Amino acid sequence: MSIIEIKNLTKEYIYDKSVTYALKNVNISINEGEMVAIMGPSGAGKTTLLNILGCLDKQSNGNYLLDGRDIKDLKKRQLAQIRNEKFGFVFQQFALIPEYTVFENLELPILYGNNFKTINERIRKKTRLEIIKKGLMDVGLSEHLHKKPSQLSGGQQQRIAIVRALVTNPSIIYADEPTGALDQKTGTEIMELLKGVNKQGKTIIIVTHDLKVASYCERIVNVIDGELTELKNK
Amino acid sequence: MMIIKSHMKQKNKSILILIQLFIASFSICIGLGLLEFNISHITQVKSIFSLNTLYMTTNMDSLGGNLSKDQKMIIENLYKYIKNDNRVASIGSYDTGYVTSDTSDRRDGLYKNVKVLAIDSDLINVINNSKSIEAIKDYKSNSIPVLVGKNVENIMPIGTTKVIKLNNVNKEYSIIVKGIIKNNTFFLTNSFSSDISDNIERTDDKIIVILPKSEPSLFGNNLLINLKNNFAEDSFKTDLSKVLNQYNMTGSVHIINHEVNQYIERNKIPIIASVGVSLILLMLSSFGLIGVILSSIIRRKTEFGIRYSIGATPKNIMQLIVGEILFLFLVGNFLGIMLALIISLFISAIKIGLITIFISTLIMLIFCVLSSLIPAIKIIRIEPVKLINKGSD
Repeated sequence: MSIIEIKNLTKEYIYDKSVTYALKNVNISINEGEMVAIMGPSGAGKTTLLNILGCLDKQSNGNYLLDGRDIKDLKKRQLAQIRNEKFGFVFQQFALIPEYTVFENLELPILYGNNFKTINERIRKKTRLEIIKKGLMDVGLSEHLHKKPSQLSGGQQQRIAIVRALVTNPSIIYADEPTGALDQKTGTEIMELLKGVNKQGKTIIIVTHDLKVASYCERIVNVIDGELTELKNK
Repeated sequence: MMIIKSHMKQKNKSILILIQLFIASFSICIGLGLLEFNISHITQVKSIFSLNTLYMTTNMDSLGGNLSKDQKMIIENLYKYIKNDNRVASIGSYDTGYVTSDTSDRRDGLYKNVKVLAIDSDLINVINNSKSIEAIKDYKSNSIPVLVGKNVENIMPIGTTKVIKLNNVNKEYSIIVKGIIKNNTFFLTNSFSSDISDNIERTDDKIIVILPKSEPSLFGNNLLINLKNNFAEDSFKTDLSKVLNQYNMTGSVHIINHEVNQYIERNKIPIIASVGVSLILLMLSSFGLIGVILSSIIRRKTEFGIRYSIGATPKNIMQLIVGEILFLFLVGNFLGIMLALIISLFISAIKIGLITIFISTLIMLIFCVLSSLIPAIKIIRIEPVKLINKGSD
């Protein structure tokens, strides 16, 4: 079943009255539970596509249907709810808040999620702690609950970022060059972790220019000069 | 909770903003405190006298209650003459709570430092206030000379000694009644120019006035003259001086309006200077504050982007930015007001009343809301992706 459907999507930037296209007439449909790699050279538009898919950016033209619902007309609060409940993000540079401990970083999405819940539905502190501890146990970092990100290695930070992406139990994980700041061995560990997450039924969309990373995905699309082509689809 | 946590995480920046807010609150409080003191003083005078009131003291004053029959007659005639003048609306006598003194503290026959104590209905406990304590502490000897209200004359005639104590200080003081004062006497100590007080105190049946140490009291019969509205005070004042000459008396005539104007004139430069310094301090700390807030927000763009990516709404971001500043405002403003209040205890020309506290808090609140709201609005207008990718821009 198609969870994401992009139709004739265009993203343009206007500088000094001249138009530059980051994405041109992109069409793609992604099914629930797929693991998709978006590849392409630097500046090709793959991160732009990921940001639009993640509702962090808006397309200039075209339609983006999420679960059959066009997100174009949604308000900022509704987009925030989607980002919180449906999406999880993993960034190249981990994007953890450096002043916060691991626990506080992981607690934040759940706290923001409470914004969209009724008082009775809100997740209380005790449950938050349980969710976070379980998430950390799954990635083998239970003992680092009260450490700051700076006290952890790059691989550990990325695993924390993956836990953060999962604490609200989203259906789609967007990963932008998740292994880009890691050595090969740690990168492999992270990809194994993401593969495991995918096996649990989550849809994973990864932006990468690393073929090894892409090899973990059953589907690979290529973005060159803003245009998308399908490279591999099992 | 999130706001407090955020402050804890950014201790240095928060302390810097807190200091700026503290200085700004303190400065504005002191400036407004100076203004409030002067405005409330003038308001107080206006509530007692209409501005076209004249007041007159004569050389008979120094004789106090020891007037001869002839002298009393002269005064009576003078009063009648003035009362019958068609420019006069009403007249009334007043007692200045004179205390003769040979000390250099004296000014035109008026002792400046008459202290007023409020005593409870049992005439035992001093109703506690800082002036009372200060007044009592001025006296080292065991027996404090006092004036008492006329209605307690029967209970405490001249020469009575009595033990009084402060409500919250378990220490007793002995007083000796040196004189009787009429109720509803306005005590005009620390005059505008010569006779009208900076601190007008009103007696009632619970008031005892401490006299300067070992000095007898005297009272003068002075005159308050209310003119009809359409007559000029100045020409009446000139005429009154001539009348005094006719009665072979010397004295001085003052116009409340002039005294108020003189007071304003005399205090204008110090007030403007002090308020100016306060405003400069306020401005400097405000610029500093805006700078710190802006740099803090700009530095945190990436953080806001991360927060967006995990589900923060624009409202959450705005609450975080404005809430952090408002939390610091509460603490900084409180500390600033407290310091100003403490300083006002030592500087009598500063009055940190409710008006000062309210206005300074309001100004600081508006300033804090604006200085955080404007950048917050700018931030929430930016697409999340730009915050994440260009956080350090």
